[in-house]
Amino acid sequence: MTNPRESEPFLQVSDLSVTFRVTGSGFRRVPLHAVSDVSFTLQPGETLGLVGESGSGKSTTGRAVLRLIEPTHGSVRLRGEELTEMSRKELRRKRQAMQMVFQDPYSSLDPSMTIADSLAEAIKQHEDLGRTDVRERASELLDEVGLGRHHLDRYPYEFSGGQRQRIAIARALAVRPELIVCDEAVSALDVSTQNQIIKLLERLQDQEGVGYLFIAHDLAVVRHISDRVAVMYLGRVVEQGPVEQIFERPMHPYTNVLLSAHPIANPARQRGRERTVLRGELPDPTAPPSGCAFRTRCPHEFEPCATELPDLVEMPNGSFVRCHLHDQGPVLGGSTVRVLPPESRGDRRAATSDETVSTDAE
Amino acid sequence: MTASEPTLAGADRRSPVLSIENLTVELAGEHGHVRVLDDVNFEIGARETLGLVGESGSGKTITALSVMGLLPKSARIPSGSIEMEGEQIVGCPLSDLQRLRGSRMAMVFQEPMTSLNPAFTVGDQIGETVRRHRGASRRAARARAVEMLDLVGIPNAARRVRSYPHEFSGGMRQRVMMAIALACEPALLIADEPTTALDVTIQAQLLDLLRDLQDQLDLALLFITHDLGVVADICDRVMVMYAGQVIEGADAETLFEHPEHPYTEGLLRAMPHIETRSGELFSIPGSPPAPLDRPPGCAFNPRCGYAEPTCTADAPPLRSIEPNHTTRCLLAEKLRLQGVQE
Repeated sequence: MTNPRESEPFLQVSDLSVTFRVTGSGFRRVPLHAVSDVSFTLQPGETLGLVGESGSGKSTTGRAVLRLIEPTHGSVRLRGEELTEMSRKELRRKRQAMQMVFQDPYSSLDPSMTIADSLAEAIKQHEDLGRTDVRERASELLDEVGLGRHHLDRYPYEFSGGQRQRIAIARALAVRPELIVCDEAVSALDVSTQNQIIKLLERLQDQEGVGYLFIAHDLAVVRHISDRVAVMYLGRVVEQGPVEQIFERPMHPYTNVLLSAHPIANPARQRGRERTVLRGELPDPTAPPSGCAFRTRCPHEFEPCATELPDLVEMPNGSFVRCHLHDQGPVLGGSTVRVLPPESRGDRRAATSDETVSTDAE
Repeated sequence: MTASEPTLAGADRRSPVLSIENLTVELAGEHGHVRVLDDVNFEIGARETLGLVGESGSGKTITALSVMGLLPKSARIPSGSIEMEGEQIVGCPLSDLQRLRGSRMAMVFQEPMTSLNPAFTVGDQIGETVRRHRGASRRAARARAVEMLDLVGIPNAARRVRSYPHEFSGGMRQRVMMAIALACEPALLIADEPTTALDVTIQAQLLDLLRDLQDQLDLALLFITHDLGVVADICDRVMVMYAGQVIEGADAETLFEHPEHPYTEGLLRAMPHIETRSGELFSIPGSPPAPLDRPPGCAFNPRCGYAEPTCTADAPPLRSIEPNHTTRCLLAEKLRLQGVQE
């Protein structure tokens, strides 16, 4: 059966939430809302970039989609099937359609297995092949990721970081997935290796129509690879939209500040740049600020921000934004936040946050 | 900005804080000694920031560790000189090194948690340096610790001085590391990927802080990074390293706008941008050579799109192509390499 509409999303995530119980001050167990009400869809061959500071919940979101972490609430539908209600056994079967590639490929490859064995293990999950066929398929996979088949009988330690990441990708491809969650998959690599891996991911997407959930802190990489982007802050999506809109016309003050903090590799421009430097650090996630969680660091905080959590509202440019500047009062109503003067650039040196509680949320 | 005279030779300015000449470092391996650093030369003056850029394995960190006298036991320095404020570091006794480290030169690393002792308060750890190098009393050391925490922008310094490293976030820990490094007012600070593990927002705060501290303390700053964005932000001069050699050096704007080595051009072209979306990402083909199988001639020639037969013959020396601009490329005059626009 073929899908009547090619552009139908194959992945539908609605109101996904993950709450951890962590030890707070005074050794009390307190809830930590790592992910709150995250919704998105993904079409075949599409890439959704997920950005935000550490502690924003982007990795947890990626894991909860695959149920590597159990969602506390919400729904994840893959081709219409609800993953959150599946039994372990069903999930195991279904997971073949969804793979994950991590930052450190060394920790996801068994050091005592040859590359051929590692790949064979994955291939057998998906296809019932004889030994020679498995080996043939493994060689094909290595070819596909740009490593020769002469590497088949070598061990992970014999490879460089970039090569290991290629192997991890080959392993993910073995089960012909529809979705690959890339969690900082290129972050540990040098720039030329990083670009080789990105090009590989792009080529595989063109060939196989894989959808990527691309989690990364490097905004330049995200801009390059994503079709759409979701920006997260303290567990919530604060802005979500087409990649060009997010980068050219940021609507949320946090998006703007993130973009502004990313240094441009051009001394003349970087030094002449108007910059909004974010005050302080991420608040304690077990006691997030009331109303809009970003307000304590926002240069544009005004009246409703402390009391009401803004809704995610659709903007004329196709982005969705969670900010009172757009839904209340005099202010933006759909224009980019860049039209506002960058206030409170004051003392950029002092960090204003006081205590930070260490958590093991991410 | 004190980019007034970014002299690579450092000829007629005040005597440099750090001066390295013909430094070569070898590591003992299974097959004898392997050269990991080859003929490195540079100087840094007070209030100046020199960036060392390159991919992993290019020799950036080895350079830094040589200066600090922290090379592994398997390393040797067959030739070269490192002078810290006129004092020779190569071959000097350990006691001299220990005196210089912390008091005249200090280093901060990428991961502050591995350099902080989890069992002591940050106050104790800042105070330790002061007590050791200046013979300060316990009380004076504590006062200095509070002063330093305040200087690096940690709120409520008087109270936070009693906190342990785990009670700080990553960005705050890096500030604590800077407080320790700078407590005895060293002349040279080596920062080895200090912001790489941090979020961009925190990185921006720390780079601002470093600039501030440099102004206040007249620091010479050796900044090691692989991130060209960070270089563009903070460095006065830049040296690009490849396979253990400096392959190009110039002031930051010149290097970015008019690179004179194909590897530098490649690095610049490979950077994805947040301002525009490039059609296809550029990547330098292949990967850097392992120290044992360096190609003959120019180390970059197998990956270089401009390579000619001469490039595989002799190892090219680092030479001046313009005043204050050095390159190791034989063909530099012939090539019209592309830098960043504007």
